[in-house]
Amino acid sequence: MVRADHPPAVPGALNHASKSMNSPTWERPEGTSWARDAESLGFVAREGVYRLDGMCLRIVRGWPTLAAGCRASACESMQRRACRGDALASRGACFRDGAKAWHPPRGSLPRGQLGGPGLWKHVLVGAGDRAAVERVWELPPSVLAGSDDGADGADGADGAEGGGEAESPLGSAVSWALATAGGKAPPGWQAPRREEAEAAIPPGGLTVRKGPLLRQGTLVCEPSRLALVFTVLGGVPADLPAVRREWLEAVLMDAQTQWRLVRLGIAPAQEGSCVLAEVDLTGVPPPLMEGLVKSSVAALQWVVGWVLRSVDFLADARVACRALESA
Amino acid sequence: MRAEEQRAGSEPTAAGSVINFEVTNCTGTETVNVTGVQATLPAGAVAAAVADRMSLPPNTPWALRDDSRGVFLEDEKAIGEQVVPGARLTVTPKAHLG
Repeated sequence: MVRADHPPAVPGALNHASKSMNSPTWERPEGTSWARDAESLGFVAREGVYRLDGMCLRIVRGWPTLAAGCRASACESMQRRACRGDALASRGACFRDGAKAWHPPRGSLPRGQLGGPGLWKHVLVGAGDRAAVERVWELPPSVLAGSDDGADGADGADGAEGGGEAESPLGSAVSWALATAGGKAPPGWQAPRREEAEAAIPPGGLTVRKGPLLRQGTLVCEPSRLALVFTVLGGVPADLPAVRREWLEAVLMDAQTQWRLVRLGIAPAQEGSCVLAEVDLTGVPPPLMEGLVKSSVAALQWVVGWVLRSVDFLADARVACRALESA
Repeated sequence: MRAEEQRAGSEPTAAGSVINFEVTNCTGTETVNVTGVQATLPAGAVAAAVADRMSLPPNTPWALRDDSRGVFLEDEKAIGEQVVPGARLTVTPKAHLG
């Protein structure tokens, strides 16, 4: 498996596992401007966490993070996830000592998340029998820093609840998240002009090369969808052994859990199925669009490069690997 | 590219159109069939990937030349716009005398 050996070129930590594992993973919200934003959107603070309709909002290592379907323990599990060093290994999934433990985690890649609007994605939290899939939405802090920062200060100066009509960058981002939580684009949203979105993509930003492996991403800019999509694997062989397919899904879920923003999955293709990596920006508020496209390109570059060799190996039916196929 | 070799001819919709061609190294000692290349990939990136696959030195800039027309492909332009499917190409180091 290909492992990350240096941080990605994304402002803010793209990886949930930071080196400073002893430091707090989420910030206390009281008195901050984002807490006022959360309250203005209807979130209610309880035990240091802002909750609304089963969702909880907090800032995890600078990233505004929403978790849907929040149970009482969900926020603790978010914290555990942020502290974890190696997601797949911590679930006891791979390469434990003793040859009998060579098996992938079962049924870990949720269906139907690809193509959904917004940044929502599924991640694994917990380990072993306590492992569970959660739906999260995470926003790069650089996007907020790059947008109109002055709005935050002005909002803070007002002090009073609901002061001012203009929504802060974080407020508009969280509104976007809430609007797309149901799997639909915000009503009335209009996709930006294609040239506008393309201008935010650096030259060569949609090309990923890892040795002899090469992939080209695409910008999807349609009236109802804005997304960046990479085909990680053009075709998953129909005759791929079931256990190899399980490993493939485990690697994809692991990448999706470890790295923020990017969703991965197996999608139907003309012949069989293919592996896709995507960041969906459908419904993005216009002031955040440019920054999010830049962050998304960098995130995709990193994540696609990270999984490319593993996925290519696992889907190569010519390669026999007794260790992987003995489960 | 390598992964697609055993699946020549499969054209997933998400990847867009793909092309196949043949590449020989500049000494003519090795030829590889390259299949399933996304037509939108820049030719320069394809040259680098092919060179890597042929174990050519990685610290050398490589270019692709279309043998039938005798022209070098433009690095930044999509390969699908510059070659026809089944084309014969040569991977060549970017070098000049003097």
